[in-house]
Amino acid sequence: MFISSEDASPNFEEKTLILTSVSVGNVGQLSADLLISTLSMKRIGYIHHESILPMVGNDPFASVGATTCNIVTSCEVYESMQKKLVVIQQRAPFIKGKRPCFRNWLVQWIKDSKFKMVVILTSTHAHERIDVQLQGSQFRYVASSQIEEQFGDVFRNLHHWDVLERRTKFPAPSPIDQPMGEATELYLPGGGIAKSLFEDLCNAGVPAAVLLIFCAEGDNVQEAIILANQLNIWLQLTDFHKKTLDNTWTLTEQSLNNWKIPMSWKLFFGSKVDQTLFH
Amino acid sequence: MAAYDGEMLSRAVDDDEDEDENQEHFSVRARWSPLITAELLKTGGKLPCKFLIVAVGVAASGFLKTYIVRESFSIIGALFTGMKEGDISTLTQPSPTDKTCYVYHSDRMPDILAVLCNTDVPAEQSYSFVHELFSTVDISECCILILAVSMTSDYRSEVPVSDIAAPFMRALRTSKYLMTPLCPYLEQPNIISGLQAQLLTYSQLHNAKAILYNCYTDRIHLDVTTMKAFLPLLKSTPIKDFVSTNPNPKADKTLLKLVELHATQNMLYL
Repeated sequence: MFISSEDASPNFEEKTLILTSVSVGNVGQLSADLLISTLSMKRIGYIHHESILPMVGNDPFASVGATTCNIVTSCEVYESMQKKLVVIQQRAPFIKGKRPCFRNWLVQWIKDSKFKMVVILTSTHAHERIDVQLQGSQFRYVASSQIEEQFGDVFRNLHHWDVLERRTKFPAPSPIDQPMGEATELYLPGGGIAKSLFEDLCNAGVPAAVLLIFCAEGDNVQEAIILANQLNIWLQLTDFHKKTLDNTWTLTEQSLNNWKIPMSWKLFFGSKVDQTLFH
Repeated sequence: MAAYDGEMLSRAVDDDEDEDENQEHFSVRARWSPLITAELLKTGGKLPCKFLIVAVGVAASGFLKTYIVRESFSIIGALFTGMKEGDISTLTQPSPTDKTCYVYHSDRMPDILAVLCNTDVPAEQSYSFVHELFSTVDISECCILILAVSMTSDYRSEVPVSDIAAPFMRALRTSKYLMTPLCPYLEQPNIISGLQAQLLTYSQLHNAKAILYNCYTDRIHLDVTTMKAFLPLLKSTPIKDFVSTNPNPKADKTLLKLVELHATQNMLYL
Protein backbone atom coordinates (compact mmCIF):
# COMPACT_ATOMS: atom_id res chain seq x y z
CA MET A 1 0.00 0.00 0.00
CA PHE A 2 1.38 3.44 -0.90
CA ILE A 3 0.95 5.97 1.89
CA SER A 4 1.65 9.57 1.01
CA SER A 5 3.52 11.64 3.57
CA GLU A 6 2.14 14.82 2.05
CA ASP A 7 -1.37 16.18 2.44
CA ALA A 8 -2.19 15.96 -1.25
CA SER A 9 -1.68 12.69 -3.06
CA PRO A 10 1.20 13.02 -5.54
CA ASN A 11 0.82 13.00 -9.29
CA PHE A 12 3.15 10.54 -11.01
CA GLU A 13 1.94 11.04 -14.56
CA GLU A 14 4.73 11.26 -17.14
CA LYS A 15 7.41 10.65 -14.53
CA THR A 16 10.22 8.11 -14.65
CA LEU A 17 10.25 5.53 -11.89
CA ILE A 18 13.55 4.10 -10.67
CA LEU A 19 13.07 0.84 -8.78
CA THR A 20 15.70 -0.86 -6.71
CA SER A 21 15.81 -4.60 -6.49
CA VAL A 22 17.34 -6.22 -3.42
CA SER A 23 20.08 -8.10 -5.23
CA VAL A 24 23.60 -9.45 -4.85
CA GLY A 25 25.84 -6.84 -3.23
CA ASN A 26 22.86 -4.48 -2.90
CA VAL A 27 24.18 -2.53 -5.87
CA GLY A 28 20.77 -1.22 -6.97
CA GLN A 29 20.01 0.13 -3.52
CA LEU A 30 23.41 1.76 -3.20
CA SER A 31 22.97 3.47 -6.59
CA ALA A 32 19.55 4.71 -5.54
CA ASP A 33 21.09 6.07 -2.34
CA LEU A 34 23.54 8.05 -4.48
CA LEU A 35 20.74 9.43 -6.64
CA ILE A 36 18.59 10.42 -3.67
CA SER A 37 21.38 12.14 -1.79
CA THR A 38 22.97 13.84 -4.80
CA LEU A 39 19.70 15.13 -6.26
CA SER A 40 18.44 15.98 -2.75
CA MET A 41 15.24 14.11 -3.50
CA LYS A 42 12.31 14.52 -1.19
CA ARG A 43 10.58 11.66 0.59
CA ILE A 44 6.98 11.83 -0.54
CA GLY A 45 5.62 8.59 0.82
CA TYR A 46 6.04 5.09 2.09
CA ILE A 47 5.27 1.64 0.81
CA HIS A 48 3.77 -0.45 3.56
CA HIS A 49 3.35 -4.03 2.50
CA GLU A 50 3.14 -7.30 4.38
CA SER A 51 5.78 -8.85 2.13
CA ILE A 52 8.64 -6.58 3.25
CA LEU A 53 10.38 -7.11 6.58
CA PRO A 54 10.15 -4.16 8.95
CA MET A 55 13.13 -1.94 9.70
CA VAL A 56 13.63 1.52 11.18
CA GLY A 57 16.63 3.76 11.57
CA ASN A 58 17.62 7.37 11.72
CA ASP A 59 17.67 9.60 8.61
CA PRO A 60 20.18 8.02 6.17
CA PHE A 61 20.64 11.32 4.32
CA ALA A 62 21.18 13.51 7.38
CA SER A 63 23.97 16.03 7.28
CA VAL A 64 27.09 15.35 9.33
CA GLY A 65 26.65 16.20 12.97
CA ALA A 66 22.87 16.27 12.87
CA THR A 67 21.37 15.34 16.22
CA THR A 68 17.70 15.19 15.30
CA CYS A 69 15.61 12.17 14.49
CA ASN A 70 13.80 11.60 11.23
CA ILE A 71 12.96 7.95 10.96
CA VAL A 72 13.45 5.89 7.86
CA THR A 73 11.35 2.80 7.10
CA SER A 74 11.83 -0.34 5.04
CA CYS A 75 10.46 0.94 1.72
CA GLU A 76 10.12 4.58 0.78
CA VAL A 77 9.28 6.72 -2.25
CA TYR A 78 11.39 9.75 -3.14
CA GLU A 79 10.72 12.38 -5.78
CA SER A 80 12.56 15.09 -7.67
CA MET A 81 9.99 17.46 -9.19
CA GLN A 82 12.57 19.18 -11.33
CA LYS A 83 13.93 16.01 -12.89
CA LYS A 84 10.49 14.33 -13.09
CA LEU A 85 12.02 11.40 -11.29
CA VAL A 86 10.61 9.06 -8.66
CA VAL A 87 12.76 6.53 -6.80
CA ILE A 88 11.49 3.60 -4.75
CA GLN A 89 14.16 2.64 -2.24
CA GLN A 90 13.67 -0.72 -0.59
CA ARG A 91 15.85 -1.27 2.46
CA ALA A 92 14.79 -4.68 3.76
CA PRO A 93 14.38 -8.06 2.11
CA PHE A 94 11.14 -9.85 1.32
CA ILE A 95 9.52 -12.42 3.54
CA LYS A 96 9.96 -15.85 2.00
CA GLY A 97 7.17 -16.72 -0.39
CA LYS A 98 5.55 -13.28 -0.42
CA ARG A 99 7.31 -11.79 -3.44
CA PRO A 100 4.54 -12.60 -5.95
CA CYS A 101 1.95 -10.77 -3.91
CA PHE A 102 4.18 -7.68 -3.72
CA ARG A 103 4.84 -7.80 -7.46
CA ASN A 104 1.18 -8.03 -8.29
CA TRP A 105 0.45 -5.03 -6.13
CA LEU A 106 3.40 -3.03 -7.48
CA VAL A 107 2.58 -3.63 -11.14
CA GLN A 108 -1.00 -2.52 -10.57
CA TRP A 109 0.17 0.58 -8.67
CA ILE A 110 2.62 1.48 -11.44
CA LYS A 111 -0.16 1.14 -14.02
CA ASP A 112 -2.58 3.22 -11.98
CA SER A 113 0.04 5.91 -11.34
CA LYS A 114 0.67 6.25 -15.12
CA PHE A 115 4.46 6.42 -14.96
CA LYS A 116 6.19 7.22 -18.24
CA MET A 117 8.62 4.36 -17.80
CA VAL A 118 10.20 2.13 -15.18
CA VAL A 119 13.93 1.56 -14.76
CA ILE A 120 14.95 -1.32 -12.50
CA LEU A 121 18.43 -1.18 -10.98
CA THR A 122 19.87 -4.54 -10.06
CA SER A 123 22.97 -6.74 -10.09
CA THR A 124 23.64 -10.36 -10.92
CA HIS A 125 26.14 -12.97 -9.76
CA ALA A 126 29.54 -12.52 -11.39
CA HIS A 127 30.25 -16.24 -11.01
CA GLU A 128 27.38 -17.08 -13.35
CA ARG A 129 28.90 -15.22 -16.30
CA ILE A 130 29.46 -16.95 -19.63
CA ASP A 131 32.74 -16.59 -21.57
CA VAL A 132 31.70 -13.56 -23.58
CA GLN A 133 30.81 -11.69 -20.40
CA LEU A 134 34.12 -12.18 -18.64
CA GLN A 135 35.95 -9.31 -20.29
CA GLY A 136 34.98 -5.77 -21.11
CA SER A 137 32.21 -3.74 -19.59
CA GLN A 138 30.40 -5.50 -16.77
CA PHE A 139 27.34 -3.35 -17.32
CA ARG A 140 24.31 -4.70 -19.21
CA TYR A 141 20.79 -3.60 -19.99
CA VAL A 142 17.50 -5.25 -20.86
CA ALA A 143 14.71 -3.22 -22.44
CA SER A 144 11.06 -3.79 -23.17
CA SER A 145 9.89 -3.40 -26.77
CA GLN A 146 8.75 0.20 -26.26
CA ILE A 147 12.06 1.29 -24.71
CA GLU A 148 14.01 -0.67 -27.35
CA GLU A 149 12.15 1.18 -30.08
CA GLN A 150 12.68 4.56 -28.51
CA PHE A 151 16.22 4.26 -27.14
CA GLY A 152 17.71 1.04 -28.58
CA ASP A 153 19.95 2.79 -31.10
CA VAL A 154 21.03 5.38 -28.57
CA PHE A 155 21.96 2.68 -26.09
CA ARG A 156 24.03 0.67 -28.53
CA ASN A 157 25.61 3.32 -30.72
CA LEU A 158 25.90 6.37 -28.53
CA HIS A 159 26.35 4.96 -25.06
CA HIS A 160 27.99 1.71 -26.27
CA TRP A 161 25.87 -0.39 -23.95
CA ASP A 162 25.62 -4.15 -24.31
CA VAL A 163 22.31 -5.90 -24.04
CA LEU A 164 22.27 -8.78 -21.55
CA GLU A 165 22.99 -12.05 -23.34
CA ARG A 166 19.95 -14.31 -23.29
CA ARG A 167 20.26 -17.99 -22.35
CA THR A 168 18.52 -20.99 -23.75
CA LYS A 169 17.06 -22.28 -20.56
CA PHE A 170 17.82 -22.87 -16.95
CA PRO A 171 19.89 -24.73 -15.93
CA ALA A 172 22.08 -23.98 -18.92
CA PRO A 173 22.89 -27.11 -20.93
CA SER A 174 26.49 -27.90 -21.78
CA PRO A 175 27.70 -26.43 -25.11
CA ILE A 176 27.45 -29.88 -26.76
CA ASP A 177 23.83 -30.35 -25.78
CA GLN A 178 22.99 -26.78 -26.70
CA PRO A 179 20.06 -26.84 -29.09
CA MET A 180 20.32 -24.70 -32.18
CA GLY A 181 17.25 -22.71 -31.31
CA GLU A 182 17.35 -19.10 -30.32
CA ALA A 183 18.23 -18.18 -26.74
CA THR A 184 15.30 -16.35 -25.30
CA GLU A 185 15.49 -16.82 -21.57
CA LEU A 186 16.31 -13.84 -19.40
CA TYR A 187 18.85 -15.08 -16.87
CA LEU A 188 19.43 -12.91 -13.82
CA PRO A 189 20.61 -15.04 -10.90
CA GLY A 190 20.89 -13.05 -7.70
CA GLY A 191 18.88 -10.20 -9.19
CA GLY A 192 16.01 -10.35 -6.74
CA ILE A 193 12.60 -9.52 -8.16
CA ALA A 194 14.12 -7.70 -11.18
CA LYS A 195 13.51 -10.51 -13.69
CA SER A 196 9.98 -11.43 -12.71
CA LEU A 197 9.00 -7.80 -12.24
CA PHE A 198 10.40 -6.86 -15.65
CA GLU A 199 8.43 -9.67 -17.27
CA ASP A 200 5.26 -8.66 -15.43
CA LEU A 201 5.71 -5.04 -16.53
CA CYS A 202 6.25 -6.11 -20.15
CA ASN A 203 3.07 -8.18 -20.00
CA ALA A 204 1.23 -5.20 -18.57
CA GLY A 205 2.46 -3.01 -21.42
CA VAL A 206 4.50 -0.67 -19.21
CA PRO A 207 7.75 0.59 -20.80
CA ALA A 208 10.48 -0.91 -18.64
CA ALA A 209 14.24 -1.37 -18.63
CA VAL A 210 16.63 -3.22 -16.37
CA LEU A 211 20.12 -1.79 -15.82
CA LEU A 212 22.45 -4.25 -14.19
CA ILE A 213 26.03 -5.05 -13.40
CA PHE A 214 27.83 -8.33 -12.73
CA CYS A 215 29.26 -8.37 -9.25
CA ALA A 216 30.13 -10.44 -6.22
CA GLU A 217 29.44 -9.69 -2.58
CA GLY A 218 32.05 -7.44 -1.04
CA ASP A 219 32.76 -3.75 -1.22
CA ASN A 220 30.32 -2.82 -3.97
CA VAL A 221 30.64 0.95 -3.89
CA GLN A 222 32.47 0.94 -7.24
CA GLU A 223 29.71 -1.06 -8.93
CA ALA A 224 27.09 1.27 -7.46
CA ILE A 225 28.90 4.28 -8.89
CA ILE A 226 29.25 2.64 -12.30
CA LEU A 227 25.54 1.83 -12.35
CA ALA A 228 24.60 5.35 -11.24
CA ASN A 229 26.93 6.82 -13.87
CA GLN A 230 25.33 4.76 -16.65
CA LEU A 231 21.86 5.79 -15.54
CA ASN A 232 23.01 9.39 -15.50
CA ILE A 233 24.47 9.14 -19.00
CA TRP A 234 21.07 8.00 -20.24
CA LEU A 235 18.71 10.21 -18.26
CA GLN A 236 21.03 13.22 -17.78
CA LEU A 237 20.03 13.71 -14.17
CA THR A 238 23.13 15.67 -13.20
CA ASP A 239 25.67 17.31 -15.45
CA PHE A 240 28.56 15.04 -14.48
CA HIS A 241 28.65 13.57 -17.96
CA LYS A 242 29.18 15.61 -21.10
CA LYS A 243 29.40 14.39 -24.66
CA THR A 244 32.71 15.20 -26.32
CA LEU A 245 33.24 15.95 -30.00
CA ASP A 246 34.14 12.38 -30.90
CA ASN A 247 30.78 11.23 -29.55
CA THR A 248 32.02 9.61 -26.36
CA TRP A 249 30.79 10.42 -22.92
CA THR A 250 33.28 11.68 -20.47
CA LEU A 251 33.02 12.81 -16.94
CA THR A 252 33.07 16.54 -16.51
CA GLU A 253 34.90 16.05 -13.24
CA GLN A 254 35.87 13.06 -11.21
CA SER A 255 32.67 11.15 -10.77
CA LEU A 256 33.69 9.64 -7.46
CA ASN A 257 33.71 13.03 -5.87
CA ASN A 258 30.57 14.15 -7.59
CA TRP A 259 28.13 11.69 -6.14
CA LYS A 260 27.25 12.67 -2.63
CA ILE A 261 27.86 9.70 -0.34
CA PRO A 262 25.05 9.47 2.22
CA MET A 263 25.57 9.37 5.95
CA SER A 264 24.29 5.80 6.15
CA TRP A 265 27.32 4.49 4.26
CA LYS A 266 29.44 4.91 7.36
CA LEU A 267 30.87 1.81 9.03
CA PHE A 268 29.98 -0.53 6.18
CA PHE A 269 32.05 -3.27 7.71
CA GLY A 270 31.02 -2.89 11.33
CA SER A 271 32.27 -0.92 14.28
CA LYS A 272 35.81 0.25 14.70
CA VAL A 273 37.81 -2.23 16.76
CA ASP A 274 40.19 -1.60 19.59
CA GLN A 275 43.49 -0.83 17.83
CA THR A 276 45.59 -2.16 20.69
CA LEU A 277 44.55 -5.60 19.49
CA PHE A 278 47.08 -5.24 16.68
CA HIS A 279 50.02 -4.00 18.74
CA MET B 1 27.71 -5.56 0.33
CA ALA B 2 25.67 -4.55 3.22
CA ALA B 3 23.68 -1.50 2.30
CA TYR B 4 21.97 0.58 4.90
CA ASP B 5 20.73 -2.54 6.40
CA GLY B 6 23.89 -4.39 7.28
CA GLU B 7 24.18 -8.10 6.96
CA MET B 8 20.48 -8.70 7.07
CA LEU B 9 19.91 -7.54 3.51
CA SER B 10 22.94 -8.85 1.97
CA ARG B 11 22.28 -12.43 1.09
CA ALA B 12 18.65 -11.95 0.39
CA VAL B 13 18.76 -13.35 -3.07
CA ASP B 14 17.22 -16.63 -3.95
CA ASP B 15 15.78 -16.58 -7.39
CA ASP B 16 13.75 -19.69 -7.54
CA GLU B 17 11.88 -18.51 -4.55
CA ASP B 18 9.09 -17.15 -6.68
CA GLU B 19 8.07 -20.70 -7.34
CA ASP B 20 6.91 -21.46 -3.85
CA GLU B 21 4.12 -18.97 -4.19
CA ASN B 22 2.22 -17.63 -1.23
CA GLN B 23 3.67 -19.75 1.50
CA GLU B 24 1.37 -19.96 4.47
CA HIS B 25 2.39 -17.80 7.39
CA PHE B 26 0.57 -17.94 10.66
CA SER B 27 -1.20 -14.64 11.16
CA VAL B 28 -1.53 -13.22 14.62
CA ARG B 29 -5.00 -13.39 16.19
CA ALA B 30 -6.29 -11.13 18.90
CA ARG B 31 -8.87 -12.13 21.48
CA TRP B 32 -10.49 -9.61 23.79
CA SER B 33 -12.13 -10.14 27.16
CA PRO B 34 -15.97 -10.28 27.16
CA LEU B 35 -16.11 -6.90 28.87
CA ILE B 36 -14.06 -5.24 26.14
CA THR B 37 -15.91 -7.07 23.37
CA ALA B 38 -19.20 -5.83 24.79
CA GLU B 39 -17.89 -2.29 25.04
CA LEU B 40 -16.60 -2.38 21.49
CA LEU B 41 -19.96 -3.63 20.26
CA LYS B 42 -21.75 -0.88 22.17
CA THR B 43 -19.62 1.96 20.90
CA GLY B 44 -19.12 0.35 17.51
CA GLY B 45 -15.70 1.91 17.36
CA LYS B 46 -12.26 1.26 18.66
CA LEU B 47 -10.88 0.98 22.11
CA PRO B 48 -10.00 4.51 23.30
CA CYS B 49 -6.37 4.82 24.28
CA LYS B 50 -4.38 7.75 25.60
CA PHE B 51 -1.15 5.98 26.40
CA LEU B 52 0.09 2.64 25.15
CA ILE B 53 3.25 0.88 26.27
CA VAL B 54 4.50 -2.07 24.28
CA ALA B 55 7.31 -4.19 25.67
CA VAL B 56 8.97 -6.44 23.12
CA GLY B 57 10.96 -9.35 24.45
CA VAL B 58 11.52 -10.91 27.84
CA ALA B 59 13.71 -8.18 29.34
CA ALA B 60 11.44 -5.28 28.39
CA SER B 61 8.31 -7.07 29.57
CA GLY B 62 10.12 -8.07 32.75
CA PHE B 63 10.75 -4.41 33.48
CA LEU B 64 7.19 -3.44 32.68
CA LYS B 65 5.73 -6.24 34.76
CA THR B 66 7.91 -5.35 37.75
CA TYR B 67 7.59 -1.60 37.81
CA ILE B 68 4.49 -0.48 35.94
CA VAL B 69 1.97 -3.21 35.15
CA ARG B 70 1.28 -4.28 38.71
CA GLU B 71 -1.77 -4.78 40.93
CA SER B 72 -3.88 -2.05 39.40
CA PHE B 73 -3.64 -3.53 35.90
CA SER B 74 -5.74 -6.36 34.51
CA ILE B 75 -5.64 -8.45 31.36
CA ILE B 76 -8.14 -7.37 28.71
CA GLY B 77 -6.91 -9.31 25.74
CA ALA B 78 -4.26 -11.45 24.17
CA LEU B 79 -2.46 -11.70 20.87
CA PHE B 80 -1.66 -15.22 19.74
CA THR B 81 1.41 -15.79 17.61
CA GLY B 82 0.94 -19.50 17.08
CA MET B 83 2.80 -22.41 18.58
CA LYS B 84 5.32 -24.84 17.25
CA GLU B 85 5.09 -28.56 17.84
CA GLY B 86 7.75 -28.60 20.55
CA ASP B 87 6.28 -25.77 22.59
CA ILE B 88 5.06 -26.54 26.06
CA SER B 89 1.56 -25.24 26.47
CA THR B 90 0.76 -23.51 29.72
CA LEU B 91 -1.95 -21.03 30.36
CA THR B 92 0.13 -18.77 32.55
CA GLN B 93 2.61 -16.33 31.18
CA PRO B 94 5.56 -17.25 33.43
CA SER B 95 6.41 -20.14 31.16
CA PRO B 96 9.45 -19.09 29.10
CA THR B 97 8.07 -20.88 26.08
CA ASP B 98 4.71 -19.16 26.10
CA LYS B 99 4.01 -17.52 22.77
CA THR B 100 1.20 -15.28 23.85
CA CYS B 101 1.28 -11.54 24.25
CA TYR B 102 -1.14 -10.10 26.77
CA VAL B 103 -2.83 -6.72 26.65
CA TYR B 104 -3.43 -5.02 30.00
CA HIS B 105 -5.27 -1.90 31.02
CA SER B 106 -5.10 0.24 34.10
CA ASP B 107 -8.12 -0.29 36.33
CA ARG B 108 -8.16 3.32 37.41
CA MET B 109 -7.55 4.80 33.97
CA PRO B 110 -8.81 2.32 31.37
CA ASP B 111 -7.38 4.35 28.50
CA ILE B 112 -3.87 3.41 29.58
CA LEU B 113 -2.91 0.16 27.88
CA ALA B 114 0.13 -2.06 28.05
CA VAL B 115 1.13 -4.93 25.75
CA LEU B 116 3.64 -7.42 27.11
CA CYS B 117 5.30 -9.67 24.56
CA ASN B 118 7.02 -12.27 26.62
CA THR B 119 8.16 -13.95 23.47
CA ASP B 120 10.03 -12.66 20.44
CA VAL B 121 7.41 -12.19 17.78
CA PRO B 122 8.96 -13.29 14.45
CA ALA B 123 9.45 -10.42 12.00
CA GLU B 124 7.20 -12.20 9.46
CA GLN B 125 4.32 -12.01 11.91
CA SER B 126 4.89 -8.41 12.91
CA TYR B 127 2.71 -7.01 10.11
CA SER B 128 -0.34 -8.98 11.16
CA PHE B 129 0.47 -8.37 14.84
CA VAL B 130 0.45 -4.61 14.42
CA HIS B 131 -2.62 -4.58 12.19
CA GLU B 132 -4.52 -6.87 14.52
CA LEU B 133 -3.68 -4.72 17.56
CA PHE B 134 -4.38 -1.37 15.94
CA SER B 135 -7.59 -2.53 14.33
CA THR B 136 -9.03 -2.51 17.86
CA VAL B 137 -6.96 0.08 19.68
CA ASP B 138 -7.52 3.69 18.63
CA ILE B 139 -4.13 5.36 18.32
CA SER B 140 -5.21 8.69 16.81
CA GLU B 141 -4.92 10.52 20.14
CA CYS B 142 -2.49 8.10 21.66
CA CYS B 143 1.12 8.35 22.79
CA ILE B 144 2.92 5.08 22.13
CA LEU B 145 5.98 3.97 24.04
CA ILE B 146 7.87 0.95 22.69
CA LEU B 147 10.54 -0.80 24.74
CA ALA B 148 12.92 -3.33 23.24
CA VAL B 149 16.32 -4.85 23.81
CA SER B 150 19.07 -5.78 21.33
CA MET B 151 22.66 -6.92 21.60
CA THR B 152 25.63 -4.54 21.56
CA SER B 153 27.13 -6.77 18.86
CA ASP B 154 24.43 -5.34 16.58
CA TYR B 155 25.45 -1.80 17.43
CA ARG B 156 27.83 0.03 15.12
CA SER B 157 29.87 2.95 16.25
CA GLU B 158 33.08 4.86 15.68
CA VAL B 159 34.09 3.94 19.21
CA PRO B 160 34.90 0.24 19.66
CA VAL B 161 31.86 -1.39 21.20
CA SER B 162 34.12 -2.90 23.86
CA ASP B 163 34.74 0.63 25.13
CA ILE B 164 31.07 1.48 25.61
CA ALA B 165 29.52 0.67 28.97
CA ALA B 166 26.50 -1.57 28.43
CA PRO B 167 23.59 -1.51 28.87
CA PHE B 168 22.78 1.79 27.18
CA MET B 169 19.67 3.15 25.50
CA ARG B 170 19.01 4.76 22.15
CA ALA B 171 15.75 6.30 20.96
CA LEU B 172 13.87 6.70 17.69
CA ARG B 173 10.69 8.69 17.35
CA THR B 174 7.99 9.40 14.79
CA SER B 175 7.64 12.89 13.30
CA LYS B 176 4.57 13.56 15.44
CA TYR B 177 6.38 12.88 18.72
CA LEU B 178 7.79 16.23 19.75
CA MET B 179 9.10 15.69 23.27
CA THR B 180 12.80 15.28 23.95
CA PRO B 181 13.75 11.67 24.63
CA LEU B 182 15.65 10.57 27.72
CA CYS B 183 18.63 9.31 25.76
CA PRO B 184 20.45 10.11 22.49
CA TYR B 185 18.82 9.19 19.18
CA LEU B 186 20.02 6.08 17.43
CA GLU B 187 22.96 7.05 15.23
CA GLN B 188 23.33 6.13 11.56
CA PRO B 189 24.02 3.54 10.23
CA ASN B 190 22.33 1.55 12.99
CA ILE B 191 18.98 0.04 12.30
CA ILE B 192 16.37 -1.84 14.26
CA SER B 193 14.21 -4.59 12.84
CA GLY B 194 11.49 -6.88 14.09
CA LEU B 195 8.21 -6.14 15.82
CA GLN B 196 9.46 -2.91 17.38
CA ALA B 197 10.34 -1.59 13.91
CA GLN B 198 6.91 -2.54 12.57
CA LEU B 199 5.17 -0.77 15.47
CA LEU B 200 7.16 2.41 14.89
CA THR B 201 6.66 2.23 11.13
CA TYR B 202 2.89 1.88 11.54
CA SER B 203 2.84 4.82 13.95
CA GLN B 204 4.84 7.01 11.57
CA LEU B 205 2.64 6.09 8.61
CA HIS B 206 -0.55 6.81 10.54
CA ASN B 207 0.68 10.05 12.08
CA ALA B 208 0.73 8.76 15.62
CA LYS B 209 2.99 9.95 18.41
CA ALA B 210 5.42 7.15 19.17
CA ILE B 211 8.85 6.67 20.63
CA LEU B 212 11.02 3.58 20.72
CA TYR B 213 13.56 3.08 23.46
CA ASN B 214 16.01 0.39 22.49
CA CYS B 215 18.33 -0.93 25.15
CA TYR B 216 21.62 -2.42 23.98
CA THR B 217 22.93 -5.11 26.28
CA ASP B 218 26.02 -7.30 26.23
CA ARG B 219 24.40 -10.20 28.09
CA ILE B 220 23.06 -13.17 26.17
CA HIS B 221 20.87 -14.27 29.05
CA LEU B 222 18.33 -12.20 30.88
CA ASP B 223 19.84 -10.22 33.74
CA VAL B 224 18.75 -7.65 36.30
CA THR B 225 21.00 -4.85 35.01
CA THR B 226 19.43 -4.97 31.55
CA MET B 227 15.91 -4.78 32.93
CA LYS B 228 16.91 -1.94 35.24
CA ALA B 229 18.29 0.03 32.27
CA PHE B 230 14.75 1.20 31.61
CA LEU B 231 14.38 2.69 35.11
CA PRO B 232 14.87 6.35 34.06
CA LEU B 233 11.58 6.00 32.15
CA LEU B 234 9.64 5.91 35.41
CA LYS B 235 10.43 9.57 35.95
CA SER B 236 9.34 10.64 32.47
CA THR B 237 5.98 12.02 31.39
CA PRO B 238 3.41 10.58 31.17
CA ILE B 239 4.55 7.49 33.09
CA LYS B 240 5.25 9.37 36.31
CA ASP B 241 1.64 10.54 36.37
CA PHE B 242 0.12 7.13 36.73
CA VAL B 243 2.76 4.93 38.30
CA SER B 244 2.24 4.83 42.03
CA THR B 245 4.69 7.02 43.88
CA ASN B 246 5.88 4.27 46.18
CA PRO B 247 8.08 1.99 44.12
CA ASN B 248 7.50 -1.73 44.13
CA PRO B 249 9.15 -2.91 47.36
CA LYS B 250 9.55 -6.40 45.95
CA ALA B 251 11.05 -5.20 42.67
CA ASP B 252 14.49 -6.69 43.15
CA LYS B 253 13.02 -10.00 44.21
CA THR B 254 10.69 -10.12 41.22
CA LEU B 255 13.51 -9.35 38.84
CA LEU B 256 15.71 -12.07 40.32
CA LYS B 257 12.85 -14.53 40.05
CA LEU B 258 12.47 -13.69 36.36
CA VAL B 259 16.18 -14.21 35.80
CA GLU B 260 15.97 -17.57 37.53
CA LEU B 261 12.98 -18.61 35.47
CA HIS B 262 14.83 -17.95 32.24
CA ALA B 263 18.14 -19.25 33.54
CA THR B 264 16.81 -22.80 33.44
CA GLN B 265 17.19 -22.51 29.70
CA ASN B 266 20.90 -21.93 30.13
CA MET B 267 22.60 -25.32 30.31
CA LEU B 268 26.17 -24.05 30.10
CA TYR B 269 27.12 -24.65 33.74
CA LEU B 270 24.87 -27.57 34.62
